[in-house]
Amino acid sequence: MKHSQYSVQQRARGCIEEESLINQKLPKELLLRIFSFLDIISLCRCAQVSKPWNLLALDGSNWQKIDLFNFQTDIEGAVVENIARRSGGFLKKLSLRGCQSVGDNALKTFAQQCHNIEELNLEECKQITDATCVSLSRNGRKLQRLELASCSNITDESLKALAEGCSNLVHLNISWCDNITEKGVSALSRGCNKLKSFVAKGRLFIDNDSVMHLAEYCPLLEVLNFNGAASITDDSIQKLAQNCPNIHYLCVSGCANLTDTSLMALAQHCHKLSTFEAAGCSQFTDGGFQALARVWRPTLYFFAYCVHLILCCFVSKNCHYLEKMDLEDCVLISDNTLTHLAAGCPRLEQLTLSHCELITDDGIRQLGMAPCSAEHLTILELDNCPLITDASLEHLVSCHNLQRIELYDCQLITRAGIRRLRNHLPNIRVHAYFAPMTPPPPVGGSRQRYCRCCVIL
Amino acid sequence: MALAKASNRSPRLTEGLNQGDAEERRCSKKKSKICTDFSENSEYADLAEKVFQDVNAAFERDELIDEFDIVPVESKANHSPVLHVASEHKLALEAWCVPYLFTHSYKSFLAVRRKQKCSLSSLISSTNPSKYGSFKASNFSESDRINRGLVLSRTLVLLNPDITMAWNFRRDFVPIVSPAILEAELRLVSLVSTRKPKCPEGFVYRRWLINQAFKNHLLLPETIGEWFPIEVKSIEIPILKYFSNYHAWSYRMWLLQKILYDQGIPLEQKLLVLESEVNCTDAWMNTQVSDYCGHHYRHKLLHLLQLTVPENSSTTHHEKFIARMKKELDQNAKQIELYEGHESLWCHRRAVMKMLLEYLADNGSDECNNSHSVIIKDLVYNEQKFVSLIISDDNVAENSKERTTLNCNHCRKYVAWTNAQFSKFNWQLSTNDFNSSQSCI
Repeated sequence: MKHSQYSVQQRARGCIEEESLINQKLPKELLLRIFSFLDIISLCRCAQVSKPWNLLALDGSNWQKIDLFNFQTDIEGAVVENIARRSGGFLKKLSLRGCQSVGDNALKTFAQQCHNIEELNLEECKQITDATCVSLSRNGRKLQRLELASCSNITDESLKALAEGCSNLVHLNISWCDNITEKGVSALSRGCNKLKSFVAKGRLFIDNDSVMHLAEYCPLLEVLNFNGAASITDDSIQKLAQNCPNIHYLCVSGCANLTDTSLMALAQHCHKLSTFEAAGCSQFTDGGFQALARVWRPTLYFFAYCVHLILCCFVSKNCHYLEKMDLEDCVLISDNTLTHLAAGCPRLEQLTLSHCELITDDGIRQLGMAPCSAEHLTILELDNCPLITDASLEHLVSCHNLQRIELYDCQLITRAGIRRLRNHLPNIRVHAYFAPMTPPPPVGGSRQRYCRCCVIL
Repeated sequence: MALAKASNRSPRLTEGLNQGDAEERRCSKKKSKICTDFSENSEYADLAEKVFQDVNAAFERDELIDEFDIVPVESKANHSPVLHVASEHKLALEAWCVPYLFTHSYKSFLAVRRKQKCSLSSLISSTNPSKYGSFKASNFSESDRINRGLVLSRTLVLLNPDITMAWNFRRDFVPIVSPAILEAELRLVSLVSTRKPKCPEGFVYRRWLINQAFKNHLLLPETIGEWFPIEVKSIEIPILKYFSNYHAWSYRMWLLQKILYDQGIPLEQKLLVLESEVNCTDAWMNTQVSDYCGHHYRHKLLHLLQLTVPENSSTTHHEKFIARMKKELDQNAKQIELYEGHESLWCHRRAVMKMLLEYLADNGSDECNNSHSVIIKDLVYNEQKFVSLIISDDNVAENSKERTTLNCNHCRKYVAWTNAQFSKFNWQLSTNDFNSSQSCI
């Protein structure tokens, strides 16, 4: 990232060939246009060629989108300041993901110089504090997308500042920011009414109040992720469902207090919901799920670890567009469910049944005969299903598109069964705890070559 | 398709191996061939990654794993090759999976170390993306990389503790800042030594850990009574597992010297530590008769005992030390009679005798000559008695036992050596009968 360091030789050559051929033939505008297609490394290289090229390559118009992720450990604050000065108002997208040595001062300069910034990614920039967000809110009126995941020094003050200054914010990610409380989230939701996507994974700071505030002030919300917010209850989800009809992605994994009431409310109001993740919400039962399945056209359900789920016909009756279904560790799932899934979800591509211990060969037979399996089914995970035998594999022979099947720890499966399956589906990847047929070749291979010579002679 | 992708990858891997620094090349010289062959089949990688995840899951479930080994089992049933007995904190791997697991983790580790995000992701993306998705190229940040490197290095040192690179990775990225981390790292080293008790790298790493702990004030001089016995106990496992374990004994010596030469530790504490070590090895010496390393440690220990003089009590210390040395010789004599034909016992006797003689030569002159000469007289008398006893043994039980003859040969050598030493004092032992030789004195 050293832009203007010439060696003495280069400088001398620059004086002699003041106007080299390429510079004579091509006008500066064209060169600039060509440069605009280059990536950072090539631009920096070009900047070292000659003085005129240096000017052109470092022209701000070439530096509208910068991703420094590949240099994450090397970037110091000074580099960010230089970039900010060079590109000025041109810069729209900047990713500093993982640049841990970038601090507040650099980003302050940056915010002052690049007032047109729209997308900023500061994930894992662990040194930045509230000062960064304050300066951003003062200068970055156009900021739309901001990633602050794993910036552990960020507190409520930041969110308040953002709420004041960046009213255009559409996307915000504050996952794993431990020092944020519900107050900050409430303030944010009051200020940034245009918020469409809000991601807050992995900590407990999201509670009922903050979700309610979000629901009240940000009706445009589409993507919501509350992964791990254990204190959320049905009330807030109900309000959310009522106020934000546009939600199409919702993740409430790990919110163990939620019950079927939430599902009912969602089913009533959020008709656009296509992806719903609820891993570990153990109070969900088939009643609520039935309500959901009646109205939605989801493409993905993620219900891992919901132990009460039995899942029957209603899924299959209503979810014709379902593509992915994850039922890991839903121990009550039985063959019956599979029969209905197979009959009713003709587009099913990916099915996870890990640790579903009641499933037997019969269920797999139903799956194998179904219309979905021959056409679409590509991934089937059956690991830790102890009742499955080689017969299951024979039922799956007709699934031509099957690319991967997981059979880890299915102890009734034998090598012979897998071999038969391979004969029918040569491209399939079977994952089981069997050692591969040909062990990795031993180091001493020279002796074998000698033997081959003997054979030829 | 996967096959084609893999074959594209292999030349880059070999190129990378050529570029690696000297240390890497030394480690990977033997393995590189396996690595390149291995990459041609991605199905190995899937299996190996799964086994690797299983191992990590076992470590997450159970932090107190205290024994690891590889069980010679063939792959017959479709169950996990990671055997983990949680109630007893034991971990084992079935032998068939070890080559796959090792090559896979070694290759991934090299990739992690060189920050080759692309090659790593192409390796990982062939496996289940939903489960191991955090290692996708676009998603692979610096802390992810380090975390993965740490778990990989853990598996690597378990399987092959001679990989210095893996230990060095831990040195670089494990911050020894809290007692919990220190304990976890020490536990890992102990775990490694249960399968490979003689591995020098583990002890070197342990030394580094202790140094770091001292630097960061995690091991305080005040609490030496608490952590020193634990440390000694963890060292005794490899000592018992592997006979004449030089690396373990020299680590023990290093630890002792570190404590004795530390300015911050009070003298009483040092004496206590020395005393406990003497007692510890006393019991040990009774059972292990031909462990050279252990005898050497004992010899050094006695030497340190001689050098560490408690304040204001040099005369009592002098007497105590002489008594201790005599006791040592007596004990040794008993063992020589009991366990015949062990050269290490004779060597130890020589070492003790030499130390005693030198000590007497240095300190004896300014003491009152009377007691000094008594001590020496006593010493020579005892030696003569002991030597004659051994020799007479040979005469009685002639051509009965090979061991006895061997013992006598050792004895004759010892006498020759002792006479050379004694000649300064004009004394002599003889190999003849005890009664006749008394006249020599």
